[in-house]
Parts: sequence; structure tokens; C-alpha cells
Amino acid sequence: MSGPPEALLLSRREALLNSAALALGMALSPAQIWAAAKDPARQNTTPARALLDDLCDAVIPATDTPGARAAGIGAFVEKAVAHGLRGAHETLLTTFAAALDALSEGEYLQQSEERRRALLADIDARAFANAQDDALPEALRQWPVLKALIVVGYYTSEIGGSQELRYLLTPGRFDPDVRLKPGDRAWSSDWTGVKFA
Amino acid sequence: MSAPQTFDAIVIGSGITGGWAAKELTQGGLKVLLVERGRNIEHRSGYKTEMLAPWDLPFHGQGNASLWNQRYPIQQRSGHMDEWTQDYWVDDVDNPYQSVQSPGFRWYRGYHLGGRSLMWGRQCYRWSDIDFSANARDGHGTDWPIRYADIEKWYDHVEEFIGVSGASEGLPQLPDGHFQPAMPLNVVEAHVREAIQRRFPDRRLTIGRTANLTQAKADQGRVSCQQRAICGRGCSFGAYFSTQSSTLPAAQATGNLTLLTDSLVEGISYDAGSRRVTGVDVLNTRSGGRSRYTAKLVFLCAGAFNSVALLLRSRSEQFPNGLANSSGVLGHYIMDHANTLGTVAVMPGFESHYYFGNRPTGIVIPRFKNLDNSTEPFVRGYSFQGGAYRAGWMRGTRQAGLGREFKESLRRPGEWKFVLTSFAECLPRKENRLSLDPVKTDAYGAPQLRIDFSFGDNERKLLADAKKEAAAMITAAGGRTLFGSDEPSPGGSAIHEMGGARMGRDPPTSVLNEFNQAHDVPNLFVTDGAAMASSACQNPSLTYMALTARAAQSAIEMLRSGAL
Repeated sequence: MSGPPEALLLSRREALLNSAALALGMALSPAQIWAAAKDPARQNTTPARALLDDLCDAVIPATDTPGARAAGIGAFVEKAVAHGLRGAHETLLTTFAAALDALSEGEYLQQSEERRRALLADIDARAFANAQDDALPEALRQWPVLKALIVVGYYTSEIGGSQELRYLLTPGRFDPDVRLKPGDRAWSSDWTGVKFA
Repeated sequence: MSAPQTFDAIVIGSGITGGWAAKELTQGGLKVLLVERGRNIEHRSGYKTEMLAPWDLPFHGQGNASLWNQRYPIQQRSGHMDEWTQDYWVDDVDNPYQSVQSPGFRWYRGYHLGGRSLMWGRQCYRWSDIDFSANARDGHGTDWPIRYADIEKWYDHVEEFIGVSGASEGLPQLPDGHFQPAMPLNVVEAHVREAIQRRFPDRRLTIGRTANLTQAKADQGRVSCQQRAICGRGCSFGAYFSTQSSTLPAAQATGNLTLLTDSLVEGISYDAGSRRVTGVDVLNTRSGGRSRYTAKLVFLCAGAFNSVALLLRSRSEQFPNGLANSSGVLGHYIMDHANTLGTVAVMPGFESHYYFGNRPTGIVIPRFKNLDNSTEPFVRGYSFQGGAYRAGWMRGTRQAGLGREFKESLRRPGEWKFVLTSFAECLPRKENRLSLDPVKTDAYGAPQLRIDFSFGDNERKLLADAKKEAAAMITAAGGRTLFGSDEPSPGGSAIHEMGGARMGRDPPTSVLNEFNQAHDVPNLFVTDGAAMASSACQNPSLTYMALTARAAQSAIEMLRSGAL
């Protein structure tokens, strides 16, 4: 699979330069532009990434905090799959994408958002059911691995860990009984609670 | 090879016991060489990942699974290794050993300055005479040559120096110590403590006794615990006891310490004429150079299995089966606590309660079986460690749900859960043993260690009873049990491997005497877990430290009196 044409990348950088400079009302250094162009959240350039971004939106959308797509979790999942995290097979993304297309009777990403969400909700319910659903194609039964990587990626990202949830490296004290108020968020830095959830 | 450098004492290994030996011997006025096989890790500046957030790491703290499967197939099973701490765990490919019986013994190690003192669980429990007299009482193993009265003041000495926080409970089976103020139980743990006390008056749930400071030790440059619970990364606050935070600076302050890192002891040399060890042969693992160092006495503190391995490899005409092994017992009677997940339960009714901060210890339920005249179908006992917490976001990886609703459900802390891990005493059995592989060698050409180990019927009976009692206690506290196991995790999983050079009263049946001194070689002391004649069911490190300090004092006195 080839990458995007150089011209497209250049125009992307220019667009970034323009929008970022406008937003900040200031000049940007070349280093800042390059950093922005490398920002995984802005690189929706391959079919695999496009699908991952859509799945990120489906699992953890933007609400009053940014969701998994904005947190760049598509890139994390690609890296995680390439390195076998959570037992992911290296072909997980391609076989899952093909199975989604087959299920959609056409390209999954070309379906309406409503239909995409309905298809995924059905897969999600069946893949997490207590009894194995033999009617669910093998490739789609890998959904829990893919979803886990999105969830792990998001809540260990700066956005998920410190904006959606609360993160504090050095609490300085232990208070054994705190009244939980409406709207209070969980600590992503409660290592025990996370590990043994 | 140039003329050997000479010291009063050589300490092999810089972990929990090696650090203590170096401190006590240097403070006693001896010139000490401390030899560590691994690299130097400097206190404060050396804990490279300590302050990093998950998102600062390439794999967000989860670790590179393909690398781990390739290089850390065993160490990654510890449950403690993560992307922050992975460099503290040995590379399994570079550090091979042979394990015979399925499912294999898991030997978890850290080869660097401070050894496992950097990585340990910090739980500190005294043994009582119920433990020291157990072998004599039921006939398993050989009698310990000491009792509680022999070691009590050394427990005091160690606890006072390292700093142990905990609560006094007045239990005969788990003697109280010299404690800093206890960390509090959280609201669910406090509830369970009361419920257990009502339903089972002979049982007690108490906060873990942990080597995390609740009061600073300014004289050691150590700050009180910041409640991060990321101790395994190394702590620049010095809030938990490690060689780096505590014993090493004390030893260095005497001006009597010489420290060697990247220095692997290949053999301990023995002089048949004087019946003494004379020193050590050291390989510099960076330069490949070899040196000999001599001393009046040697403290072997390489970690239980490596200490035994070094004795087995240090063969001579007089000791063809391993140094100080006229008994033939060396390598035999190794142990590790049989442990498993006794119960996991949901604790309803506390949904509006949470906590702030990450306490670096859980709770303990000390042994309550076989304390008196008992009719149980097993000998010895078990205890539990664990605690209550609210399930974090990781629960989202195991449940159905998508979109806004899913995200919002994970925003709140999850259900309260209670975990109890069972730790059962392991009987000393001769067939559980260490030996040298006759064929396979390691990267330095030394014979690999072979570990023969399996748990026996008694350990299985203990864990079966533990599972039943864990569920009974949690149920009595209103919990709903989700899971419980009585299947022991593979040997080594408790990371409490011990024995192989046991202490005893009789030279024909033991390797060491009551002062951790080799029966066969008066100027050789082995003070790490190798010395253990039984395992009890408590975490053993505090006892290793107390035995080390006691042995060092004895060695200094023997040296002064001319007995060595």
C-alpha cells in the first residue's frame, strides 16, 4: 500500500500552517509545522487508518472531551497490532476490515454512519456475549482484541488519561474515604484499580 | 593477573541482604568489598522512567509484546513487570536456567545494583516461635537452630533502620514490630475487618506492614511516602527501603566500602590447609577482564538460588560436590510459597465512597489455622494479602458497549472489589532441589542451574482450605464472590524462592549453623534466602535482613576474638 502523494502532504502542511497560524495569531517555526504534520491524529492517510479512525469514533466518541480519534489512537492501535499487544495477530486489521466489508455487502466505510454503528453494535454484542456465537465470522470474533486496544490506547493517552479521567502522579497523601460527588471522574492513575479491574 | 586486592570482608551481591551485610560490616570497622554482577543504578538519577506518564512511553506502559515474548518470556509472567520497570528484570535469553517439572519454575530476577531491593513488594513480617519450632514439631525438615528470642532484637534493629509502617495487633503468630504509624484501611477494608472480627473472632484483617515510610528519615535523606504506588520504578523520594535508599549510603558513609558493579563472581576460592575461603574470582562483564580479590571472610548474599549455584560451582578437591557441602544437603529443600488468587469479590453498598491517593500496600489476614492443637488434615498454615479498590477503566476492555454511553460509564469509578491472594507455607522436601546442568552452560561458560521443583499434597490442601475460608470471610462481609482458585501458581510465582543451604543444628544434615556460618568453612557466611530451613507463610525478606545483621555482628566478634 503506497503512501499519500507528496503534493497532498505538502498541501496538508500548508493547510496546517495556515489554520494553526490563524488560530494562534502568530508565526510558527518550521519545527512546529513538522511536528503538527507528524501528529498521528492529523494523518488520516491510509485505508486502514481511515477504518481505525471510524472505529475509534464508534467506541469512544468526542463528547465534552475529545474522543479516541482526536487522541490519535488509530496510530497506537496500528503499532500495538504490529507488535502483538494483547495477542493481536499481525493480520488483525486487514482481516477485520475485509470481514466488515463482507458483512456490509460493500465497502464498510461507504455505508451511512447509522448503518456502520448498527453493524458494529451487533458485532460488539455478539462478540462479548458469554456464549461463543458460531454464526459470527472468525475475523469478527477478534473485535474484543481490537476494541481493547482502542480502550487501552485512549485511557493511557494524555487526553483519555488526564482530560477524560483524572491523572495525578504524586498524590502526596492517602485519604481512605472520599465522598464521590456527581460528576467526579475516576483516577486513571489508580494503578491498582486499573490493573485489577 | 596482578596481585589480588585484599579486604577484611567480601560481600557477594548488593540486594536486600548484601546491602545489609555491607552496612553492618563497614559500620563494624571492616574494610569491605561489595561485588554486584549487574550495572550501577544511581539513587535518584538512575530511575529513568519514574516520572513518566503512560503516554510518554512508546507502548503507553503496556510494553512491547513482541519484544517481551522474545526476550522476557518468563519475567513478563511476574505480574509486576511493565514498560516502566522492564529494564530491571533480567533478559531470559541471556540468563538461562533449566526447569524440569511442568509447568516449570519461574525464576524472577533483577541483576543490577540493589537487586530485587529495588523491585520488591516491601511487605515486612516477623516470624514467631510457631514458625521457628514448626520443623521440630511436625518432623518436616530439620529443626531451626534459633528461636524468636534469638532474632527479636535484630528484627527491632532492622525495622528501626529501614522504616516499617504498620499496626500492632498483639497476635502471637505475627509478632508486632517497631512500627511507624500505619497507613489507613480504606472504607471497604475497614468494613471487612469489622465483619470478620464479628463472625470469626480469632481472625484479624490488618493493614500491610510495609517498608514505606510514613515518617521521614531525614538522617538517611529519605522522605515519607507520597502515596504513588509506583515503587517498582525506583523512588527518588527514598520512601521505600532499598539498598540505594538506605543501606548503601550508610555503608559508604563509613569510608570503608569499595563497590564493584558489572562484576560477576565466578568462584569462591578455598584453601584446604587453613580450611578457609580466601577470596573470590571476578569477571568484569564489560571488559572481559578477570581479577582475584582476597579477604578474611566472605558473605554470600547473591539471592537464594544464585548463592547455592555459586557454592555448587565452587568445587575443589576437598569439596567435589560444592563448597561447604560435606553434608550433601546443598541445593536440596528449596521452597517457594504456594500462592494463588483465593478470591475476587464484588462489594456492594459503598458506591458513593472513593479514595484519594495510591496506598503502596494492601491488607493482610495473618495465619489463623493450626495455631493450637488442631485436627486439620494438613500441617502448617496460610495467610492472605489483598485489599479493596474500585475497578478502573480497564474493565472497559472486557465488556460490551460503544459510544457516548460506554465512555460515560467508564468515566466513573467501577464497582468496589476485594481481592484475597493466598500464601501457603511450603514444606521443605529433599526432592525439590537445585543442581548444575551437566551439559548446558550460560553466556559465561558456567554450568546452568537446574531447578527441580513441584508443590506437594500439603500445599494443595492448604490452598483448598484457603479458598474456602476466603469465600466465607468475604461472604460474611456482604461480598459476592466472582472467582476463587486453589490451584497453586507455578513454583517461583511468589518470588519467595528460598532454601538450598539450610541452617541447622547438625553438620551432617545442614549447611549453615545458627549464625549463618558454613559448618565446613568458618569464614563463609550465607545470609540470604538460601539459609532458610522452612518457609512459614510470611514474606521472608525481613527475616533475611535480621539474620544478616545478626550474622554480621557474630562475624565481627569472631574476627575480633581471633576465632576466624
